[in-house]
Amino acid sequence: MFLSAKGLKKSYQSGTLTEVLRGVDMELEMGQVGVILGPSGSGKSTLMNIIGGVDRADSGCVHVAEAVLTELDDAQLAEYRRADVGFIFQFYNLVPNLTVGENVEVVANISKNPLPIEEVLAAVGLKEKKHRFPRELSGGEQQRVSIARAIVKNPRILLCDEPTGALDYETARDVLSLIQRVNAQYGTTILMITHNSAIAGMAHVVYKLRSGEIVETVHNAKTLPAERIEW
Amino acid sequence: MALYRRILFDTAKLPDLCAGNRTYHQPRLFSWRLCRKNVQEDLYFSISGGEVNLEQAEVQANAVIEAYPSVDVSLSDTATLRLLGQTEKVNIPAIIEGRELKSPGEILLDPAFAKSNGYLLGSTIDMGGQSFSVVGYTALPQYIYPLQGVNDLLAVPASFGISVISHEDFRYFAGVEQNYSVRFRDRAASPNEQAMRLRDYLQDEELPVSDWIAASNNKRISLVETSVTSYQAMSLPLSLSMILLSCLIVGIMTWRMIKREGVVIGTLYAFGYRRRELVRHYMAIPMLLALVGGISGALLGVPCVKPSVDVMVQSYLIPVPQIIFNFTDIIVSIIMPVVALGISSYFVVNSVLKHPAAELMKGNQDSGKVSRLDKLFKLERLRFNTKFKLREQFRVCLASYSWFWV
Repeated sequence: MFLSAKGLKKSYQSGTLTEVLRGVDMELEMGQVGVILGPSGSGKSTLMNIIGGVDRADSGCVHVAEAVLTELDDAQLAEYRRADVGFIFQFYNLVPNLTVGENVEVVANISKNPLPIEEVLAAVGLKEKKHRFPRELSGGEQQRVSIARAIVKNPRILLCDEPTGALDYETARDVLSLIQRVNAQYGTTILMITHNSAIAGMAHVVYKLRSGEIVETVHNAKTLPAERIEW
Repeated sequence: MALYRRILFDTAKLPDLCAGNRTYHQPRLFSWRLCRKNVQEDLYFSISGGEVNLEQAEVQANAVIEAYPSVDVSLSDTATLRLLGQTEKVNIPAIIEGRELKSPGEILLDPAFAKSNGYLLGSTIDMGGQSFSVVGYTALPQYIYPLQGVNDLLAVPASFGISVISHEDFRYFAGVEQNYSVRFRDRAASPNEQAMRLRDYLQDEELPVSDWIAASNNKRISLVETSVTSYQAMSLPLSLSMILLSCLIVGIMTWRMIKREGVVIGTLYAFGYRRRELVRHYMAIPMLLALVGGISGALLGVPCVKPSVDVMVQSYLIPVPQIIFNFTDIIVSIIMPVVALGISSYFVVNSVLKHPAAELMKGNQDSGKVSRLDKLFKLERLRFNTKFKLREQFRVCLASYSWFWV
């Protein structure tokens, strides 16, 4: 199993103790697309952060490929993120004073075997806008830059945090289609969190998260192409 | 400004004096040079009757003793000029401008007095029925601060000055006094003990001493040192506080910049950037600022050293030779702000970057805690507008407090 989590628990102390994850179990094969569905506050982002190595679980165990994340120290977690993880964020999180090309280069610069920047920009359809700044792009284009930045390091797992949350319907479908293409072209394992249940159709595995617990795991025998998803 | 002050006070140095002296030491250095090169007295005395056998006294005191005449002459109702006989062994006049005395009828003037009273080189002064030609401006080791009386507090160049004429020219004046300047040969031995031996000798010879003033008690000599000490006391803390202020301003600027970029930093963390890489990145700006500031401070400060030294020594009669800059000091003055700002910025940058990536990516490091001020006051009875304004003030107070302790 490429990704597996067992008995993941996480809580925050802010005045009162808030249990965000209450023993999450999940598994995902290499090269599959997984979607975590759940309403706001269900613990989706926390779960993704733990799998991405930017946060730590209080208890439980997370395996990604050969790495046991729950046993890694800070430096090892940084190495894991550097080598294996790509992130796509809802609000893109681009560096505003860097051009499109430079935003991609920021990550390529620290990767051991990055993909050629030109190739990645061509893959996301932004080769012609390499020298534009993020503020000169539409939301959809910015999300494409974000995808290019995430895949340029050729990560083993791509974590997408509500990648279509800030986009209109058409643009969102374009972005989902691009993510699906990345999965097909590079064989990247993708884990996406969303509250849009329609997106579940494009996933191999759907995890329904509610109040910090996975209440249902659905394995789709057949996945839908993103172009056919409607909501 | 701190950089400017630093260079202003730190770079000038005489080539023939030891390293490590700063610009505020320049009057001290110049006076030391005057003392050594022009053989400053260790004490002077005068006697009210009789004559000192100089050869015998020199042997007894193991000192060089030189006698010279002096007399005060009124040039006007307000201006008095003290004429001093030219000396060759002790308190040798230093020529600031012009030339030395070559023949009778010539006079060397205190430049401050000359300037205040309009005596240019080549002009003449009529006194004692004779006309004296001003051939040079002079400084004397025993009159670095030209006070008329040893107990006076302030030198007033417009009303009192010193001058040097040849011994022969004293015949034109009445009331000439004989003074003796003493310079001990053994520089390692205690001046007080040597002075006591000389005094004992004079008593044995039954010569009535009327004035007896050691250099350490002579404000004409020692005031420059006091003045330098006060420059030093003022300059060092001021320079340091300016540097600290710069550190604070740059620190706040850096802190705000990094806080504003919290989301980007969190994202970079998420992509695998290490903390030390980000620290290095964000340190570049304060480092560059410090380096540019240090270099421009040096460039701006260097031309100001000479005028500032001139201002410092304007109250004193000290020849100011050419100032030669010490390369090491200039380098230190450039590196010092880099080090100071580097250290302070490092702590500031680290204080922000220590937050976890997940927290930084939220774009809000505010803990959401309610301040004590907010809890302290019960505002329910107030109108909404008043409550809103007060709550805002509490928030600003809390933010200012946080900034101060960042």
